[in-house]
This record gives sequence, structure tokens and C-alpha cells, in this order.
Amino acid sequence: MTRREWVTGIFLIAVCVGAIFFFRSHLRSNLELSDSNKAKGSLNSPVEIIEYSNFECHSCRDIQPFIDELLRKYPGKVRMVFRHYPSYGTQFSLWSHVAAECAAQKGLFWPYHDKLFENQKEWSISPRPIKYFIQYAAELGIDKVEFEKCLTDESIIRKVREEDDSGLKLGLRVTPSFIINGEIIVGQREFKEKAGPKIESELKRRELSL
Amino acid sequence: MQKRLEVADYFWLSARLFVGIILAYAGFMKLMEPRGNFEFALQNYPLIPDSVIPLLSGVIPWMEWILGIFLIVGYAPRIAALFSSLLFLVFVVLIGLNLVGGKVIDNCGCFGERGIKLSPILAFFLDAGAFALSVLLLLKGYFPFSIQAWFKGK
Repeated sequence: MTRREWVTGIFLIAVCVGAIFFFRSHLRSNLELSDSNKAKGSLNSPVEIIEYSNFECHSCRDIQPFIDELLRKYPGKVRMVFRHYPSYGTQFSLWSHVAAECAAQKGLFWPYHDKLFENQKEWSISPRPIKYFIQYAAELGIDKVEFEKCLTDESIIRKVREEDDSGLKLGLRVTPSFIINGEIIVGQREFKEKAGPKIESELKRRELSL
Repeated sequence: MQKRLEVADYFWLSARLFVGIILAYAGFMKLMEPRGNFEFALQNYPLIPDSVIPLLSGVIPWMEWILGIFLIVGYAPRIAALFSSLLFLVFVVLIGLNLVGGKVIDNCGCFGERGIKLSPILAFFLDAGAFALSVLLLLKGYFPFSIQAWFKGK
């Protein structure tokens, strides 16, 4: 191989690698959403975890204690953001997320989120889960009429679909999936393995940069 | 005589582009998605040990993407054809063993989650075809309209 051929090869590889990083960053920069009504923790936290979750999925329910433990372990250092991702569920998944978004409008997303997961076995097998969604809202003190109206509110449904689309654009095929400071972690098992070390490394990086 | 040569040129060019585009597309789609997606797809192939799945899910998409581009532009095409035939051979064996074993999966995972979804049987024939063309390209070593031909002044 001549020198010219080597240089061409290196140039081609650099273009290939650069193209991938360019398209990746372009894809991810389009995913900023206004989801602050479903976030826990300070905006100034050095670590942000975005969870793409489905209220109907068992793994999403099972990972909750682990997430709570992480938040307890790193107080003030981790901000948790929830994003609706009902795409891989059944027809009722979407409605559970719409209901949760309605609760979020009242500032009660997290208690409603907990109720949906705690009672997953009840509503997810019901042919008429809406009555349970209304019941859980009432238990949290949300006005029934207002809540029922919200369930058919186009803007709420659109918001849920917008978040769902962002997950689809990222190509997430599994729930729960997580993004920790930009790094995507797919699946419950992987999150349990990688979340701790990733948070530690992010905190260490932050300390070094200060 | 001149016309026959042109037809042959177009055949070899088409073969190279076909294999290159399949590889580049497969690699690009996987690289645009979380690595975990491909890890999940690889778990459907029992022949692959769990311990090497993280490594393979990182290496294969980059190999596909770079080999694909090399074949499309015709840079080091013989080396690219050698590696692509090895890659396709592995895919054919993995998918073939799943088919023989009766393991049912709805998507081969070849083009990621957002790319074209192929049933294992279709994926098997596509990979087998691409393997055959890669081997032909490797054996023939003739790459018209390529960077290599340009380097050699043809």
C-alpha cells in the first residue's frame, strides 16, 4: 500500500466515525422535553437519570425500590426524570400514562406513579381499567369530574405521545430504559449493574472539574 | 467485446454496492440505537456465549458500517470482501442453527429496532446471498469504479 492509500484509509475511517457521532448527537439534541412536572431532585444535581417506563411492565415496577435506594444513597446529587413510554404495552398502557400525566398536572405525579405500580396487578388485567385510574386519583384527592375531563384532553394525550416518540426515536426497545447523563442503559438488569458505577464516575468527574 | 466488458463491470459494481449497502445500513442503524438493543438481539442466538455478547454488540456494528463504506467506495475492497464474507458466514450459521432448532424470533435484529424488520428465514437468504457475492468479489478481485481502480489508474 502506498502512502496515499494509507492516508485515504485513515481519512475514510475518520469520516465514518465522525458521521456516526454527528448523527447520534443530532438525534439526542432533538429530545429535550418539558418534563419537569415528573422530576425528583434539584435541577442542579450533577447526575440526571431519565427513565423511560411503562406502567404496565413488570420490570418497570420491580426496578422502583432500586431507584428509591439510589435516590436515598445520593441525596441532592441525582435528579430523576420520568418519561412516558407506553409503546411496548397493550392498549391500556397509553391510558395509564394519560392518567398519570393528568395527576402530574395537579402536582401529584409521583404518588400516582406509585399507586399505578403498587396496584398494577389490579388494573392491568381489568377489561375496564379506567375506573381504577379514576379511583386512584380520587384517593389522592383529585376532583373526579376534572380528572375524567383530563383523560380525554387532546393536549395531555399529545404530551404522552411526544415523550413516547422521543423513546422511539432513541430506538429504545425495552422498558425500563434509562439515560444517565447522556449514556443509555437498556433494561432492568443492566441498570442495576451499571447505574451505581456510572453515578460514581460522574460524581468523581464533577469533583475533578471543580 | 467492448459491450460484454461493460456488462461485466456493471455486474461487479452492483455486487459490491449491494453487499456494501446492506452492511453499511445494518451497521448505521445499530449504531444509531442503544447498544443494549443489539445485546438483546444477540441473546436470541444460543450459540453465542453470554460473556462475549457485550464485546460483539460493540464491535459488529462498527465493522459492518466501516466495511460497508469501504465496499461502497471501493477502498481496500478485497480485504473488505474477505471480512464481509466471514461476517455473513457467521450470520448464516447463527440464523441457520436457530431455524433448524425451531427457535422462533420475530425479528432477526439485523438492522436494529428501527430499521427494516426481517423474519429469520428472509434474513437467512439475504445473508446467504450477500455471503455468496462477497466470496465472488473476493475470488475475482475485480473492482471497477472504485477508489482502488482510481489508485491503479484504471
